[in-house]
Amino acid sequence: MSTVLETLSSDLSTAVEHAAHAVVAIRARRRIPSTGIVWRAGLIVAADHTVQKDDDVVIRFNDGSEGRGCVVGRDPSTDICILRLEGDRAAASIDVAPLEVGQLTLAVGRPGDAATASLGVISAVGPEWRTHRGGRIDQFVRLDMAVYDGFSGSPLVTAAGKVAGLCTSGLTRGGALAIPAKTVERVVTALLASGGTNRRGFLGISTQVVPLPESLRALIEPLGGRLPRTGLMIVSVQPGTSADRAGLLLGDLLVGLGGEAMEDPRDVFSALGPESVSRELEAVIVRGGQPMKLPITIDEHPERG
Amino acid sequence: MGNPLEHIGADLDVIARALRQVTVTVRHARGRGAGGHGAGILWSPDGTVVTNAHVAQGATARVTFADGRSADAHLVARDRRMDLALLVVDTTRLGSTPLPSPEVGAPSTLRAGDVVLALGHPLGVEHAMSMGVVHAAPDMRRSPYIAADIRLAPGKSGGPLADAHGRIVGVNSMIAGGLGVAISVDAVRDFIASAMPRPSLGVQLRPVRVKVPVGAATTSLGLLVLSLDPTGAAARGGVMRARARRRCRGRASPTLSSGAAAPARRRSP
Repeated sequence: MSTVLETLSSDLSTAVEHAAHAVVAIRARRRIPSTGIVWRAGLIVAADHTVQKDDDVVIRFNDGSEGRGCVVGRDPSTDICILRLEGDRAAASIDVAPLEVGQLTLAVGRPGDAATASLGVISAVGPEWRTHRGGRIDQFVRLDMAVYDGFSGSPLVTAAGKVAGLCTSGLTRGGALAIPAKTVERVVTALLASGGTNRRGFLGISTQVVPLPESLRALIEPLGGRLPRTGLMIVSVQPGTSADRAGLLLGDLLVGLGGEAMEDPRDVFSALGPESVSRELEAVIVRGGQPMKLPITIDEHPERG
Repeated sequence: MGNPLEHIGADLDVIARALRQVTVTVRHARGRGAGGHGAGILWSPDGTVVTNAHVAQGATARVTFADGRSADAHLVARDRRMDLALLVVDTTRLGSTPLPSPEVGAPSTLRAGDVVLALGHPLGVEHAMSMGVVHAAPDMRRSPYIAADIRLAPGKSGGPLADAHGRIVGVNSMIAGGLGVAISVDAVRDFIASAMPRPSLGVQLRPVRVKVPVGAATTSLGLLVLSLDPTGAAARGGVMRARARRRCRGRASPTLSSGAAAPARRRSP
């Protein structure tokens, strides 16, 4: 008769074995290979920061065989990269259910020939958040898990052996984080639909958050149902960009864009989603102590992704 | 009965108790301070202790058992490359209570994700246990090491790494890239075998090519006795120098290493 600990042990290694079928090694950087997941038939998902090559990428599978793939889409804002693969490979079984604190999870990597396992629990979850590059992640998921070679791009595997997310240390200065499967699904679908890049709008300004004095707030109409507490002081305007053409000036205070309050640079990212490109948004600014409205036609972000 | 987590806690408790019995503290014989000590595994009840070479630095050491008894030990073998050392404890002053023996497992059966436990004295905290999982399934043909996602610290060196059954599978040796690295018990067995006294003929031999029919085929074989230890087994048996030795215990000996009575050669890992 086996003890409960032995049962747990064999359940964990069985979950690793199951998940490992869809975990591949990607040779697209110096030194060690990085990990990727066969997310759909013929499609691999990896952490964007680990894939430093686009074409003729060597991919090694669970059975030791090798294939070639090429990058067909990148979204650095969510650290997701997709590669198209020749031939059919069994895809991972994905679970898009929201994650909970305390769930026992494994990261299954492949920084070489063999699959590797790390065990941990989900240490914190939070609501939808924006990465520092403006990517929208449906749920904040922090992992109490050690980060080893091959961690980024590895699937977050639940005790049931399902893939619940993509692990990465590239979004929070080396901290162990998971991008929920729901977000990966959404980004993959969007990348495939848009031909490989998630378009983003671009204003061409740098800003500094400043508190709004009550006297100023009294002059502003509520935006998106609230009266902003802070505004964004424009500290640079790139020539030739949307902001420049619309007449935004150094020292202007941006308080609203597209009907939403701009209290933080992340609010600007939110307003500049894929749907904003080539559209005219109304900016609310405070210039010389007086609020005014300016129409701005949004450019597409010049950077890829 | 409790829930699975309580069961796991109880299982861990049982394993921790058993592992503690065979985990010893190895101190420098001369060093009086609290620092500079590591762990070791009581390998057999005759007082054989396995530890890391970097733990057993001197020719002698002081070994303390889990029940508080302690004794001097002397170094029998040390392999700095493998980082293994073999100590034998002077059991004469340990009293009549017999020493326990460890339960040893099979590292080759470990899979990635299997639960492993490490016992040792991290940073001076005696007999502390940590839990983790096997990071990558060990491939004993390629490497004698087991990599585990487990927290090790100085002082855990030389202590046991055990599987979920409590069977010892390795000797915790180092931290590499954040991973705990243990030397598999298979490599430890090879090391002990090479350190133990081996059968000796007391001869120096060299293969020579002599045409001798063996069965249907004709082969070149034979071992020339170059020198003879006058007190050795071969001399007592009447072997003389400079003769082609064609048979050993009735079997043909085509090469030096396959001679039935030739000393076993150490296997390199």
